[in-house]
Amino acid sequence: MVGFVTVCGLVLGIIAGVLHPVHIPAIYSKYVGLALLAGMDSILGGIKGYLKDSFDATVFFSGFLINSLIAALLGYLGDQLGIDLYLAAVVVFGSRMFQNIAVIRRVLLKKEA
Amino acid sequence: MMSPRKNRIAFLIALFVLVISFGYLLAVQFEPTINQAYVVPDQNVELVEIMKGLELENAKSVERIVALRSRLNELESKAAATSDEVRLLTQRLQEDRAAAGLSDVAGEGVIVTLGDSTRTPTLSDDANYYVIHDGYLRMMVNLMRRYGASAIAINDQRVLANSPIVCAGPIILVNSSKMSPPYVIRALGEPEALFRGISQDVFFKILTVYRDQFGITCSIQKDVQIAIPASLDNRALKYTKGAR
Repeated sequence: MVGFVTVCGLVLGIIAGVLHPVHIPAIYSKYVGLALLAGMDSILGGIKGYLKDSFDATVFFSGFLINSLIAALLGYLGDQLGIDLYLAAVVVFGSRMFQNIAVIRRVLLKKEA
Repeated sequence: MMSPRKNRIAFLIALFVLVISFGYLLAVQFEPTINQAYVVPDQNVELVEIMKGLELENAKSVERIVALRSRLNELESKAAATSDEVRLLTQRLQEDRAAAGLSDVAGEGVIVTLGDSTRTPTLSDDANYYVIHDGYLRMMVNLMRRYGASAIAINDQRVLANSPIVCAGPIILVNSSKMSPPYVIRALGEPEALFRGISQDVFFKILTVYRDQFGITCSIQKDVQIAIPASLDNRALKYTKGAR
């Protein structure tokens, strides 16, 4: 069911994005990329929470929004200061994604067994 | 505390909404890349065709001008052989042509080379410092005139008093001819005076600072044999007539 909802939502979102795209100026596309990374982390975190029965819709939503915003802001701030601050977001969310995927994998494997 | 069933439904709804927005962002983020790579607006295709046609026409016209000029030279030298008076007039005509920039000239002078930086500016850098602007070329041409240049050319284009040097996006137009870096600016004149005057000018010193800091190309050298092409624009002064 989770997989079905995820795939359906993703396909719907992509179709909506292709049919009615918002034009993002090239200089901001880096920040959107960061927001995407944060969003991916939040979604994986949500799935993990669901599988471990600790899911909380409020935490899920606020995490998705705030993490995406902070990641984009961090990237912007870094560019203003001349430091590659976006690397912080890339490293943190990147490693967390791996951790979440590892937990999801383990839970699913146990269920199978 | 929510019941497990309610919790499950809440999760699925939340997941659905978030995944939709995630997918949307993903598609939007990919969209500009797709557009740039594959989709060329119809209007542009048409304009590019028109431009290519005009460029071809231009190249043919240049060939024709060169051919007609050599034919004219032939006829003139034939006519000059007929009498002393014609020979004198022909000589005068050739001198006037040289002064007006309508004939090839050669001699000693200096060569200034300007080129864009090989480094790529990062997002926080000002990209303007890494490229050669049309204003730099105008300044350099003016400097050369100030230190006594008698004939100037940028790449293959002769620069006359009324030659436009303008910016057109990533390229520079000199006499409406497209130029890309490196810009080689040749000037005939007394090499020592030109070299010393230009290399000690504030503008040239600023360019050398840009060279050291941002990696643009900027060099000046003396040369004893510099060839400068004729202007192809026979009618550059078509609206100028002597006042009576």
